[in-house]
Amino acid sequence: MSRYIIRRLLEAIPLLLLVSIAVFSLLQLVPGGPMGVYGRNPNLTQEGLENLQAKLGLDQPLHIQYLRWLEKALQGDFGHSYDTRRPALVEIGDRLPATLLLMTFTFVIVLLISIPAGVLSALKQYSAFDMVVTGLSFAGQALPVFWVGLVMMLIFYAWLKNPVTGKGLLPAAGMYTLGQPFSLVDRIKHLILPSATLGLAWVSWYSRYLRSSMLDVIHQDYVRTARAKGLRERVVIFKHALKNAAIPLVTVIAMDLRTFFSGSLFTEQIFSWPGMGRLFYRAAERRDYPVLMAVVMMTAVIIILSNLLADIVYAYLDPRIRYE
Amino acid sequence: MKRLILVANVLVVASMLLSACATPTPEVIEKVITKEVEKIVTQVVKETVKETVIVEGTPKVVEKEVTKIVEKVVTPTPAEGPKGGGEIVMADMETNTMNPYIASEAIARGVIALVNRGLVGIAPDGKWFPAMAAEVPTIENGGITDDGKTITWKLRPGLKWSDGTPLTSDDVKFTWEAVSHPESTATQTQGFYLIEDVETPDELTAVVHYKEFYVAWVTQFALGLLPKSAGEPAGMGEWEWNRTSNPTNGPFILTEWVASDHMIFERNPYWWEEGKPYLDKIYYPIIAELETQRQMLLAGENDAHHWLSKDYIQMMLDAGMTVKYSSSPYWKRIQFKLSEFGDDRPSPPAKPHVILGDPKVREALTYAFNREEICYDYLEPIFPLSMFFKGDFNCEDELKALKPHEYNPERSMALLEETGWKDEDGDGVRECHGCMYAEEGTPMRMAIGGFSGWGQEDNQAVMVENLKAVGVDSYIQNVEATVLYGTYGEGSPARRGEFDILYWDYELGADPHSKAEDFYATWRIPNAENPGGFNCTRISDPQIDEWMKIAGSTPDVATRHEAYCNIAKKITTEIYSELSLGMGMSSNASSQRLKGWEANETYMPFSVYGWDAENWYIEE
Repeated sequence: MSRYIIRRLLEAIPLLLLVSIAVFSLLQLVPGGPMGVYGRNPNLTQEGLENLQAKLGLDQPLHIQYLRWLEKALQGDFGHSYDTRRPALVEIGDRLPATLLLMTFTFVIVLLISIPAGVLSALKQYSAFDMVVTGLSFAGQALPVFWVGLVMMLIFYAWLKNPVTGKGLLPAAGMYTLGQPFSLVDRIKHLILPSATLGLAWVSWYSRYLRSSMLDVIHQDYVRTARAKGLRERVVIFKHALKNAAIPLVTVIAMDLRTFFSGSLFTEQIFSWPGMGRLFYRAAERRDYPVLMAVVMMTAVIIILSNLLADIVYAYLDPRIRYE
Repeated sequence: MKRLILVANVLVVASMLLSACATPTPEVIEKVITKEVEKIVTQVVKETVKETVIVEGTPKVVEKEVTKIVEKVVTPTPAEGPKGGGEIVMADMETNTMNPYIASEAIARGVIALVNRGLVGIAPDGKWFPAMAAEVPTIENGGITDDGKTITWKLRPGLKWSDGTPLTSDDVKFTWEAVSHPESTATQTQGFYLIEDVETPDELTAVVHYKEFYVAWVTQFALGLLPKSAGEPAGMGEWEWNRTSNPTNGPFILTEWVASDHMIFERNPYWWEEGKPYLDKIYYPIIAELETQRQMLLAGENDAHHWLSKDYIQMMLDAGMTVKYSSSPYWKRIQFKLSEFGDDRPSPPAKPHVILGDPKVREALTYAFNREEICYDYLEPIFPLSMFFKGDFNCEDELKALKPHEYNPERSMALLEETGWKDEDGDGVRECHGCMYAEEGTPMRMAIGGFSGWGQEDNQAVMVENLKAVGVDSYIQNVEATVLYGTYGEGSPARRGEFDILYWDYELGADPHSKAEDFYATWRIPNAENPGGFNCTRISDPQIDEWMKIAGSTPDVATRHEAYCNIAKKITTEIYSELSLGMGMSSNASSQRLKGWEANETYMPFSVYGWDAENWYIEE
């Protein structure tokens, strides 16, 4: 297994290099550029613009810009944001904790809901419970995230009011209420709407995946054998069936782990959550290449590592799986 | 399964812990705010003293007036009465920096105005008033030399930065040094490269020497002042000061900034006006969405909202909010490309635009557009006839007499017939039959370029209908705003001449010259060798160039007025390169309890919503 892990990590190096070239090239192909935000500025002279471009290295040929970026990136320096002039890593460091908090909170709730929902849905196939869960899953997958977020805000902030304070039942924006001492309750209240918005699609996907794979597994011979041996139903389901049914779900979860870093653009924008999604959106809007490159490259690393983690978890779940 | 449950439990606990301690570390700008009972105020008084002057070896005793600086102890008057104290919430978007000479967006300038002020400010009526300066320099008060190349700024005595250190003329000089430094990454550089030197004969006097007359000199230090302690000019882009604004000279100081989440501003005890600012604190939640900001205002969780669109004004008034207006700074217009599509040169040497190259066609189209209809969504729109309609350079009366820009589709069609554009096949679209430049049978079809979003397409749709009514086929072809307004090198279709008709807007600023030059001077036609400028229509008229030089070389208002009006007349009634559309009112809203604010966005970037923050107060 160790050799497998090392080999996967070494294979990641040329892959990341290719990703960096592809992303850098694609960014250059996008219309506009970093100086576009200054276009309407009546006070930026031509001389000022040229000085700015020179200082930011934008007057160099593209391959020189890329090589300079690569040289610094290999030393852990992803350059300075064109927008704020601060190091790209500092910009990321400022937003990452907020994204980690939101994603972790959401993820935990999602697992706590989707796993039981998927299992029970499979066990009680075509029952009323199954129909309701299935229906909600389809709705959750079909409804756009931004629409769900806005409707949530409309209902729980604009329409429903806190009978004591007269303000919205749940907060519409931010991580906590300004000007008040720390309160865990306040923090959780601010998490509810963005988490619910984000989690709805996840719960839908995960419960459907699990239901589907459980239905395959519970009719397998080994499950029938386990029942025949007199094991309790709970043991049959959770120890024998779920472990195997979880393998496809592990794949999906592994692919979603990158959101712990990259955040969710729509949800963070709607609820003004100060996370990575908003950073990425702002950087894309302003063609802030250093920040974009840093976010994309780090996301690529996360994806590679999470795939590797998925493979390791597979081996744990299914002892038949061996890696050379 | 047990392990899964264990993992889930660990994750729950971890998330609870994260919620307690995963808050992004705020950049807490530590400021020791000591409210002094006694503080020393420096005042300038005049005293007559006797001095011995030695002349040619013969001692003479003469009396003369000598200015002396006297220190006296004053007990500061704390903010008291109904106007004193309190906190407000002002939800808005995020600024990228607190450095007024790096910030470029309107939102950044509004936030910066809370903490940093320049030598002068501009009021809603367009009049400049002294801010950190004791007075606005004029020829009469000796602040401007006759040739206009030397401006003497006098600071108010007793100014201090928020850390208690004196604000002196050295800081004015430093501001110039930093902004004009080629490596500073400054974006508000207008005029700074024209400064030869800044002398500081004393702590209250900064004498600015220009290499040549700079017509917009009054705006030079209007955006703010930079403290010498901020750092080296070359490193201005990376100053920690850009994030902390510590020290600063505005009515408030920034005490906390959590990236993308919130900012907190507190009263600056060293603000120069006694008893102000009235507010103790401003909480500034960073809210990306305008709709959320509006909802927060209606819910009582926000005290101020600006850029209130027309559709929401009545809702706010019905909810008891205060709504105030100022003229929008954005001047909308329709422009016609004079030379061939995609050719960045003027014509000649480029070929004329096959349709718009004929000035009579352009004139015809100016009669086709219904300005009131196109600007249907503007709040109380005004329809200036050219960009020269503000203050001392108002040319509206001269232009009105010439009756340009009247909506007259019949006249439009008649002119198009005369120019050889006729619909002979009856499909509703004219073709060339003896027109000036296009091949016989070429349909009269053009693209209307602009930027996407902000309701632009709705206005452009009306333009398409207006043109259709006179037999011209058109379609909308928009790009992102940052692309349209971007640089030549980044492929801006406007700068590269890749358009037929352009529908867009521009901030005019307080003085018209730089924009007039950008829009109409031959030397401001953007191309690969000279990518600056916004003369996107490619006007190249020697007479206009001459008037432009006259207007830019003298401080005399009457001379400039005449030159600008000549330019306006020629463009409006001979060249027909553009149709001035309109500008609406910009509206801002506040809760009922927030008083003392005035809307002031007409002269952006110099007038922004935080311009009078020291006057804001709470009245419950």
